[in-house]
Amino acid sequence: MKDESIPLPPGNPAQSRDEIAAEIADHLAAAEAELTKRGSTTDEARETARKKFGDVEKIKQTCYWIQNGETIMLRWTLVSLAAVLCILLGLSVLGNWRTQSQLADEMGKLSSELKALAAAKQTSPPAPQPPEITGVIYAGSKDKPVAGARVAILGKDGTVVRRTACDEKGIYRSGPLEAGDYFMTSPIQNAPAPYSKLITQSQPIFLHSASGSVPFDLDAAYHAGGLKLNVSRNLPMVRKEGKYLISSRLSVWALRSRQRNQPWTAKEKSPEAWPIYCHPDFSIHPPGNESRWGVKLEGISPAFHALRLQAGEDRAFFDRSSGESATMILPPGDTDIEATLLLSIVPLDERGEIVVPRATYNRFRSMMPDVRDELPVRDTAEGNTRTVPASVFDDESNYVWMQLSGGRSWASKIKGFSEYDGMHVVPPGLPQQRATVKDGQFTRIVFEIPEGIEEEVERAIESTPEIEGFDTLIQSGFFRRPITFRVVGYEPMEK
Amino acid sequence: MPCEARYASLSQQKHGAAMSTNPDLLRGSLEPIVLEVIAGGATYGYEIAKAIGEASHGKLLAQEGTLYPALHRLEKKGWLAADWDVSPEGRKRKHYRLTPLGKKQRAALRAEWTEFSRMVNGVLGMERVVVGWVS
Repeated sequence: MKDESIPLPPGNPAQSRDEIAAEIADHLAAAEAELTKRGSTTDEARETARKKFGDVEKIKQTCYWIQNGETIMLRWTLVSLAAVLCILLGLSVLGNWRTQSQLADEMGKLSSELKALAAAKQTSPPAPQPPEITGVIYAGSKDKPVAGARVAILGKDGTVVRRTACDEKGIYRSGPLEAGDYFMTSPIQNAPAPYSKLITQSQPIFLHSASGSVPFDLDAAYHAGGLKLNVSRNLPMVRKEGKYLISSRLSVWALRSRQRNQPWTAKEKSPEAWPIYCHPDFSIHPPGNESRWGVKLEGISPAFHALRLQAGEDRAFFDRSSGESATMILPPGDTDIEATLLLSIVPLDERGEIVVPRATYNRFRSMMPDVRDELPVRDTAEGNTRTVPASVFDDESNYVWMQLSGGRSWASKIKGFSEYDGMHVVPPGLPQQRATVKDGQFTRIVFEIPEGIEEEVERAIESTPEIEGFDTLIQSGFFRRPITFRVVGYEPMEK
Repeated sequence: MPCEARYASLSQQKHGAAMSTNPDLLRGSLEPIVLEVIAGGATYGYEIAKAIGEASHGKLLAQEGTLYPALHRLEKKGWLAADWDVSPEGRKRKHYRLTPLGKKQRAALRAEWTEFSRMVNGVLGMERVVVGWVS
């Protein structure tokens, strides 16, 4: 009879269990036999024997545990330990597996991220190229590119950092540039005389390191209007033979910040509009310039057009660059105009020549060496004066004119006139008028020459005792008077 | 002297009249009794149980099966040794005998029991009762 209630570990328990069963069976059989011998039936004997014995299976199990308990416990302990070890090992393996699994997952994620990053890196845009400027140079409209146009790239200090030329489609490329401010210049196309050297300068173009290719188109056409000048009457001129010559000339100056004789730089005040036009004749007074009489020229815009009308020339304005011209070509926009009537008095001898003190003459010749030998000079009888033809007085520049007619003692007696040093056009404080120049049109203006100037000057001279002698008269000087104008209309420019 | 007779006289000396035995009193005293019965000549389980039952008028072993755990504990302790034989009826039978160690333990247990019973009797006012063991 085997006990199946408690599973026992392997070993040699079966024999022990059988021995116990045999021992108890022997007990029960002996008891039954004795009871039977005493008269009990077999069933009664079996029942009584078992009843006296007690719980057979429980006794068997107890005996079995007494005999094998230590071994069983030891085996179970070992089995339990092994099981615990296996569980721990399993847990460890599981944990390790989970850790490795998590690590593998993390590695997988990291690998995926790295792959994504690598893919993103591969698909990301390439590193920005060095900045450059590229575009089209056109004349008037963008459907008129200028093939072969020369282009200069200027730094903010006005230095040329790159030169290039347009292709047949008018396209230019500056090539790689460093970050910074740049300007572009290109020669004006089909510029009218006398502006053949005119160039146009673009507005500032800022490049930063990530600008890449910055598109910029530049119009190289000469957009301009013009001024047509006239005077309300002939300029004053009074000639008294043997005594003096009162002559005058009208100087007109048009001042535009969009006109310069050299490219604009970031150090200067910004012009009123872009682009600007640069021409060597648009002279500039650098900072610190002063006239010989100490007039500060700094801050006076020298970008001007000058026309001059001399008395006796029947209203023919004269441009020193282009010859006679009654017009000014200017960029469109508002234009400040300065008009000055210059008045001078020189003594005349009996022959109609200008009598000049020797000192004045010598100063003149020293300052104007290029005309020295061309002047027909004649010494006067007094020995301290010299005479020059009156034509010199008329033809030479304002400066020569001023030198020959130096002196200012009577000037204060002529209302509205002031000294003029002959070096600049707009002394500080003098009023200016403004006229609007329209693209492709002439603005017709008329300068108002006041009536009675001649008589006023004559009265001043005649009432001044000092001018009885030529020397005194010569010292009376060379004066100026602002002249106003009015716009009388516009007319199309001829193509 | 057969063991049943010896136990019968012993039982009569100790208890005098039939009475039930408190299991708490029996626990711990069965093993010395078993040793004594085996020393008296009983060798296998039924014989040992019958000897104890007869000596105690059936009071020490209310259930005969409780003998076997005591036999196996003594065997496990090395106080008893066992041999298998075949009964006259042809059944396997396990015969117990005292080992030398068992003999020593039997003597020690007798001395302890004598002293213990004297103390208990003294406490209970039974000093005059003489508990003697048949050697």
